[in-house]
Amino acid sequence: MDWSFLVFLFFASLTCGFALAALLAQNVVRMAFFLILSLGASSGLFFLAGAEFIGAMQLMIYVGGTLVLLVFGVMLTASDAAVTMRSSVSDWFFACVPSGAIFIVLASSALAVPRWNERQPAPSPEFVAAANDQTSRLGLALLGLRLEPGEEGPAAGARAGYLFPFEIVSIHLLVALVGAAHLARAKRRAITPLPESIAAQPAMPAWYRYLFNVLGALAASKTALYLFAPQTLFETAVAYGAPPSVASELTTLNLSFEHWRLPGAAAVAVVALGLALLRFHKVSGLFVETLGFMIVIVQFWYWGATATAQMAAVSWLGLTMLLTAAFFALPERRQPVAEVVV
Amino acid sequence: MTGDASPISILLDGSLSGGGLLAAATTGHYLVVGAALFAIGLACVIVKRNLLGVLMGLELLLNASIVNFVALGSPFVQPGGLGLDGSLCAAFAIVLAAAEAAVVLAIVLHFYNAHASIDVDRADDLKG
Repeated sequence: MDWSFLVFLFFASLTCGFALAALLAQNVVRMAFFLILSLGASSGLFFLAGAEFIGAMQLMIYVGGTLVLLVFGVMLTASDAAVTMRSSVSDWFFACVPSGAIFIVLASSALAVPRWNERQPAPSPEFVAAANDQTSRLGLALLGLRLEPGEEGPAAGARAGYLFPFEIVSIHLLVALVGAAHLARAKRRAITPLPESIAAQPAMPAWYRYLFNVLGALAASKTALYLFAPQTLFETAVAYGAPPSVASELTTLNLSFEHWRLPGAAAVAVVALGLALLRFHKVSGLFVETLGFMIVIVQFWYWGATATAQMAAVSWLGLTMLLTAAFFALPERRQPVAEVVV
Repeated sequence: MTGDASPISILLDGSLSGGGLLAAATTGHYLVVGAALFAIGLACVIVKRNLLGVLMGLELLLNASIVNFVALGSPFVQPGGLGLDGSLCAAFAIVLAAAEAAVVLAIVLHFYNAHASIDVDRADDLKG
């Protein structure tokens, strides 16, 4: 007996029911609570579908992070008029007609495709064992090596991995968070200009002025990571039974530890240089970051790993643009701010 | 069909419909859940006057797409489907939803500081 469909029905009804409750709730605090329950129940659907990593991500990031952020937003803007805002009947009409139409179209089209509605036979224990290490495969795919369960022969691992989207989405998240912090900062208007002696002081505390040097040193350490990570990646791929043609990009690197001593030493030298340059101007962080990436790009290109070199080049470009933008955006001198009048 | 089959056992074993109530859920079932979440989220976006309510509707819309990605990428629900692509797209969608929530929350706070309200009907000018 397979009870999975009853479990599916349980989680699906919880998900849709709490979503409906969130739609119908007038109080925005209750709406946030129903939304948390709905998203948590949908993570049960993910566990049921065998995507345990996505389910855990949903619980930790979505329910634990994003919605807590939302609840903070509710609390920060809470006033009696804002907590319960009622919508007019015409609003409900214009909301329910198009969304009901979209639901009918989507659901009927989902049920109309035969391939999506075949009952799958119960999977064999071998298939379950092969497909159950999805989390490891996700990790490998995020490092650039994609091995699908059950794929054999030359097709195995031939598809592109996700190292580049992973880098893009991490830079995107960083930029979005910096932008959000910039957008949400409290603006104060100058009432009276500050005395010249105070206005002449640097706006940043002492440690803050070396932020760019620290960022440069971090980039240099990341360089070292790039130099040493493919070794581990290759070993993991071999452990997962990848044929040598799979990791053609990696095998062209001819990875033995002897080949990695020189770049490793170069990376350590770059880190040391970055730490040494901490005593100088903030542009030096940018300089060290560029230097480190240049070494990596040239080395990867020399070894024939052009795609990895291009990835490093794009990564360097994005990081440098970010650092340069921050370099120009931060003020050198203290801006006159409002004085507190008691 | 055997003679001792009761209606309940027919329903459970799926002797009539080829896969009864106790067979595994198909991709179509997951997609219907996704469609329902999408419709509810869309209605939320349209009907809510609170800016944060609109944001919560957006989260429901994103969650609908994540449900679809997971179902189509699952090796158990849809063999030979998207595979790892589905799970990874779902993971990226969760990350993008976090970034989106942070930015929208900053906009909400900014709007609240400027207008002392988060009623979207009052957000009809571009100049703060």
